[in-house]
Amino acid sequence: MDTKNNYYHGNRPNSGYLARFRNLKSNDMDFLRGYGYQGGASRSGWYRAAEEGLTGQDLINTASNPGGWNMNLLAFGEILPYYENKMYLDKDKLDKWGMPTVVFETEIKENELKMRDDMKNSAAEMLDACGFKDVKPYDNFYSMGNGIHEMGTARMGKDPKSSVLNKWNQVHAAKNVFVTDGACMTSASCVNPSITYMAITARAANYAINELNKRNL
Amino acid sequence: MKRRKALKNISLYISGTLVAPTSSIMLNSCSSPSKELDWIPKNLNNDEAFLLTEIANTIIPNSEYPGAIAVGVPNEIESYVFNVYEVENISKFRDGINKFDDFLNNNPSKFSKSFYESNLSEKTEILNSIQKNEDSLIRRIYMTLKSLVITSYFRSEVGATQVLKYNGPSIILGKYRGCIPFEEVGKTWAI
Repeated sequence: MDTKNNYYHGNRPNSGYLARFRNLKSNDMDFLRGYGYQGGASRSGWYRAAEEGLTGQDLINTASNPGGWNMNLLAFGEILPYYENKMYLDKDKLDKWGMPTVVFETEIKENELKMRDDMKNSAAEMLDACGFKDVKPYDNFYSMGNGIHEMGTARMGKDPKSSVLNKWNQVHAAKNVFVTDGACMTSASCVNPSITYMAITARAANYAINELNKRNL
Repeated sequence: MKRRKALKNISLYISGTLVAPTSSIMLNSCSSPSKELDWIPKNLNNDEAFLLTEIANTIIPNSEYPGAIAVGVPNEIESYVFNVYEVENISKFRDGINKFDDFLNNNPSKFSKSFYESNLSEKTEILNSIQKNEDSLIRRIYMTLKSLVITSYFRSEVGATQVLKYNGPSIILGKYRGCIPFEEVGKTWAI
């Protein structure tokens, strides 16, 4: 197939998805849980004209012809629940309105680092096996927030001493407060969580209405 | 660029209601290094604006398409930098322009005259050789400027609709066709 002559029209509404394949039936890796890949293929565009030492007509010609194909795989992996990962209010360090500032104290640990190694190497292995050339595995390192679907900080649990919310997303210490976003999660799983958030929100709202009708709230 | 052709191109923009870059006649000539501008910088001083204009014109001069000056690239870059950059990055940008200006003034090329006195093909050679040289502060400054020039140009109406193929509507509406012959599109998509 002459891929040099292939192009595309319109915008792909989604990306490729490779579901989790590690540690499915038994734990046979040196880390717990797993990850999925998202990604897609495209031809490089006009911007590459900046990177080559070109000006004038040569630059115009390069920019108006698409460059080579490339394919990207991006891994999303689970972050285990760590008791030490937390956010709190710092009452000694105030903002300019005199309010306590928020402090996040979080890090990924050995399990995540080992998983990242496997994410990187497996992606390279798959692309190699598919016949891709010039495969470059990379790890851009992680800081909380890069994963887009951040979870936790008001985790759900039975014991008010070790959790913020009960099983109905209701704050243990303030029954008329419900937190229904990703804050209730104890672990940040590798799958996209938005539909789960919608479901737990509907569930929590339903519970709240029933409780209200029973005059418990 | 031939003076006659530059004039011809400019007359095209007048009829196309784009701003007519009168000074590009001067920019394209090799006699006058006086730093006249055909646009009014709001924040940059004359030397800085002139350097930006010269670089933009050398990277994308008029060709079969209107060049960087004709589509207003230098003004656009100024407006972008001063409206979007954080304060310390604005001073970094200005500092870079001034360092680059010094470099061009104090390092006579093999043509044994300054950048500003060179003709377009000599200027082209000077800039391309900076890019092909190994990493240095001057090269990094040039790459930043070049990136701004190219981004601003290909996001302009001329760049996005004439040089490239504009896909504004199709990026949102219509079906996705994942494998079609390039000839059906003919040019790189703008977005």
